[in-house]
Amino acid sequence: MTEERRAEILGDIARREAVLDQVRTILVEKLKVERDADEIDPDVALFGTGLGLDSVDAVELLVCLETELGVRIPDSSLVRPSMRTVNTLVDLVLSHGKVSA
Amino acid sequence: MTIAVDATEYHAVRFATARSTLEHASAFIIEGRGAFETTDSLVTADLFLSDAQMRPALVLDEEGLIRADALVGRDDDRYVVCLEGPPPAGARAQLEEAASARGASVRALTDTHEAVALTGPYAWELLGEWLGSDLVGMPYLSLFRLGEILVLRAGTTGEFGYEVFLPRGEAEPRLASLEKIGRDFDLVTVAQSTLDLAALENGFFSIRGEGARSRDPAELQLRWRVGRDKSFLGADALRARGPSTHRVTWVRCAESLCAGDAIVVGDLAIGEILHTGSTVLRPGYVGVARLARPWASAGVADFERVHAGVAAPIRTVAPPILNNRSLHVSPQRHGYRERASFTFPEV
Amino acid sequence: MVVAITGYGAVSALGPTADAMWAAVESGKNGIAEIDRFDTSAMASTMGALVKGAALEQSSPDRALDFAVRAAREARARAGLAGGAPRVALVLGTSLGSSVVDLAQLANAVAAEIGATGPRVVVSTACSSSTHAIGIGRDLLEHGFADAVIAGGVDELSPEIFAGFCALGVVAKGRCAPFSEVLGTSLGEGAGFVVLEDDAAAEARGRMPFAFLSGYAISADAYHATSPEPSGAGVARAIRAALGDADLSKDAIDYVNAHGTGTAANDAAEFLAITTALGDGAKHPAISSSKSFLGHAQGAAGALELIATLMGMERGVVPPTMGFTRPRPRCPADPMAGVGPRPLAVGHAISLSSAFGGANASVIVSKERPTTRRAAPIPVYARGRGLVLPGMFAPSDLGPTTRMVGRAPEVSMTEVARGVDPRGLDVCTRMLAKVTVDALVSAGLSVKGSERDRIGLFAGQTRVSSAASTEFHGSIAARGLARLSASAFAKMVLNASASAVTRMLGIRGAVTALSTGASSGLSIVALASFYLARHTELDGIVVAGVHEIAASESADAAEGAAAIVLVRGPNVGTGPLVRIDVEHLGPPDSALASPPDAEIFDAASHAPNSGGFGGGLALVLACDRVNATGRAMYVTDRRGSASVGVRISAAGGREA
Repeated sequence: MTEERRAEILGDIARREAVLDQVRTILVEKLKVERDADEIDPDVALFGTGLGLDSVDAVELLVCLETELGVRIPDSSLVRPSMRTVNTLVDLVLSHGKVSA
Repeated sequence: MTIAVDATEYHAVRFATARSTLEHASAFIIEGRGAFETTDSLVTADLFLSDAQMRPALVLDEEGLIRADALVGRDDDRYVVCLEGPPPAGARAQLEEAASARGASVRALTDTHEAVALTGPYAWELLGEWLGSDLVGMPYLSLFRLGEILVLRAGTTGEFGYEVFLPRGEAEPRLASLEKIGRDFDLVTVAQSTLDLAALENGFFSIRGEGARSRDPAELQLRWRVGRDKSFLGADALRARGPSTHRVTWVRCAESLCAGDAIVVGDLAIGEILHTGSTVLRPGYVGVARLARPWASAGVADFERVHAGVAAPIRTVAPPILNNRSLHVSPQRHGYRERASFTFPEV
Repeated sequence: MVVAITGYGAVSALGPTADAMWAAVESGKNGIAEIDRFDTSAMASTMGALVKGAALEQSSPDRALDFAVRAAREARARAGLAGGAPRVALVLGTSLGSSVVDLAQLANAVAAEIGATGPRVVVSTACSSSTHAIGIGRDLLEHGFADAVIAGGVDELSPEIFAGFCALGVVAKGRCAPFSEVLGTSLGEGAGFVVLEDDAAAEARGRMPFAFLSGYAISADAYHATSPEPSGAGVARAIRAALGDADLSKDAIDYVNAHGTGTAANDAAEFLAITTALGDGAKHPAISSSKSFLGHAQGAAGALELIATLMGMERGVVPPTMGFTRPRPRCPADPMAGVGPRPLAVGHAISLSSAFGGANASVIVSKERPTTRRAAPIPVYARGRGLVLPGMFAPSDLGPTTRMVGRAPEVSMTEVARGVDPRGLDVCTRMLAKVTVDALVSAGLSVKGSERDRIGLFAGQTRVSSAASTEFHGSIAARGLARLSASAFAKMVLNASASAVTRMLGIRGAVTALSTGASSGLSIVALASFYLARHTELDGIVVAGVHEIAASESADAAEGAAAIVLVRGPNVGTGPLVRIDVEHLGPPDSALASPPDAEIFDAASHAPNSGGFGGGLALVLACDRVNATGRAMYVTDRRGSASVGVRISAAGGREA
């Protein structure tokens, strides 16, 4: 593997981190999660345990993902499995959002 | 050690109901005037608990490293503390020392109770038929007292999971009745390793798994269990340590994975595998890797694991790695006996 | 006193009168239809039970006023109550938190239109409002503050409310089917009122009662802001307490008119409550849900459903559950399913209502005149206090003419109660929590274990949290109706703060929020004392007045909260004790006779522009004074929608 290739991989990781930061910001600013954004680990659960969000928060979260990150979920059966952790939300944004190149 | 499990047991956990004993955790009740202060001084989490609410936490040592995986619950004025990690005698001693200094007392639930755990997408229904329909609606991370029986809903597999503590006097007849009712639910006794694999697939921390090789909460993505402005045993050391250089990331591999395997990107070493298991539903392996921070990200397919000099590609993923059946089974609509008449998404 | 129901009136999706409604039910008509009054294309559902012909250009509160006036007039006419008959009180249940700033004004407007010249009370506990309102009507009669009471509720289905429920994911795509396969509710609107009178008075007027109001009760789930407690324990408590109030055994109940919204969470929990509290093994009384054809009329629901029950009872039938196909697991196998009413002789029926925040209410009606002798009301006492004052003031600052204005300092939740998650708590809720805790602690009362079922919380306030209201309307402006903030919507009910406090502290005996406008802080004590006097299942009720300042409010407004604890007797709690006697409860501005031996204290003295806070503050200060001097005080307030006079006298105390 070349140095260039490694740099490309790090670039992809950086792009993912940027989306992670956007999701963290939504959690802190809109859902009032009481943590500093950079303290929210990627694989932390959103509901029940972890960040302890509830069903009413879930609605707000989906709306924010749509308005802030352009995420449109075509099929409602995708919603629950995608909303497990911050990282699964990022997967959702990357596959269904308007992410700038 | 790579977890390998029996497919029938795994199927029970993921699609029906499974029964197990609590092998590694010890449960205590802290009571008395200083019960809150005692519990609060030892565990890392903010104890904002309403009555009957539970919360996962940690107990650290003086160096700010994990000594125990803790689950704390509030039962009116008493606190239920389940600890995994230290041997039961050691855990008890630590609790008793903290309690005696604060006017509280400690008793071990195992002194007076026998424990059984129920797991699975229909465990709620089995529990309801066994001990009463009030239990069906128990929220996740809550506890319920039925006379002298204590039920905790705090599974770590992504399926409905309950720990039931039966007073010794009632245990035999109750367990006999569980056996009988369990037949309608294809209840199977499963080994701890089956539950451990399920936990691994769902991204739950295992102190005997990845926790055997790393005890740093920041590295293990467990900072959510630590209260922000709180003081507790090990708080200073934890805060002094600052951000970690590594972070755990979940990985999948089509070929075998072993704890200790090195992770490389090209020929650059970036970490190692901490914990792994062989998956049942799809061929391959799932594991937890400890990666240097710049590389610790899900969604990467370019890393490899190296085992005895042989490399195999791995990809980093965001757990849970499956679409748990329990997400879709609703106690208000579904029942085990009618399961064939419902269509659920693929797990 | 035996309380007779001598009239009823209803405006609903099934017609402009109660008779039209029943005729529609008999012919199997369903009021839930495609909504044509506003655009639902972006919403999760397009159906609702709207009142037909309600003018398109009208908007709430005018539409709500129209519904209420028409239904109240029909009730009054049916009861043969002459216009201007003295002391006809109005108790009105309504949600309308999102669109009306001062709920008491609505009550005054309705009262003016229908000539109700007695006191007016607004109950605003969202979906259980009118059921509780009817119970309060009974209390007013029994304590002699009205000769007749027009009690019930009204609500309009506005686009904001429809969107809010859709956002919470509880609205069925098509028509709701309570207890059956379709999950979710259908929303509705309308108004329903019953006329309550002393049976002896009705007889003297030559009126035959339609039925009798035998008992009622309320309870608190203390569980979640929008989901009901899954075990139904809160509803079961309300049922048992109503049976106790009526002195009836559970076997006496022949029919349950369920809250029955059709949501997954409600129906299973409610059925569990019914089987627990009214059932015997596999048997339970007949159950049906009128929301299956009326939709969920929110603040009017309880009254409309009770009227359907009454009309059925008169005819030897019960209203059906329409839209039923197969039963849902853990729900009744046959909730009187059908297209029309089912024959059933009903001697006693119970109507259940539940609300966001877990405010449950139940009312029992009987066909025959009750012969059970209910216990006489007991005297009510008070002890303990909690106070949050506007920023610059300390209690010692309060001279006889001190006027307080301004905001209160921020309440830190860690000081209030150990273990409370402060995330997202608005000012109103924080202040209410603090004064509730302080009042309980200073009264020597704890809320632990089974004690939780015996303590209640009554909040007097004039409007919902202004911060929550701003957030709610702001989310609509910024993101459109289809994407409004569901969490802000959940707070658009007057009992949101009180319910949040019951959750924090585990208070499960009772919860409610009432308004009589500016006199709310004092009237809440009166109404709470009536409830405690009869409800032996409670040891005490925390009574609080609270006000959160809105950004747009005038400079002389004051923010704060005040609470005392009403207790059933000197043996409940510890500390200085006073006795509470409600001497006057009448229409606003009505003259209050001053008792010769008590000093008068006008509740408007210190904080005239302060919602429920001013009255609550006056009460706390008066109790302090009585405890210090031993001399009685008479606290009065003539503003808003009711004149209130409460006498506070020394009653010794009990050492800790």
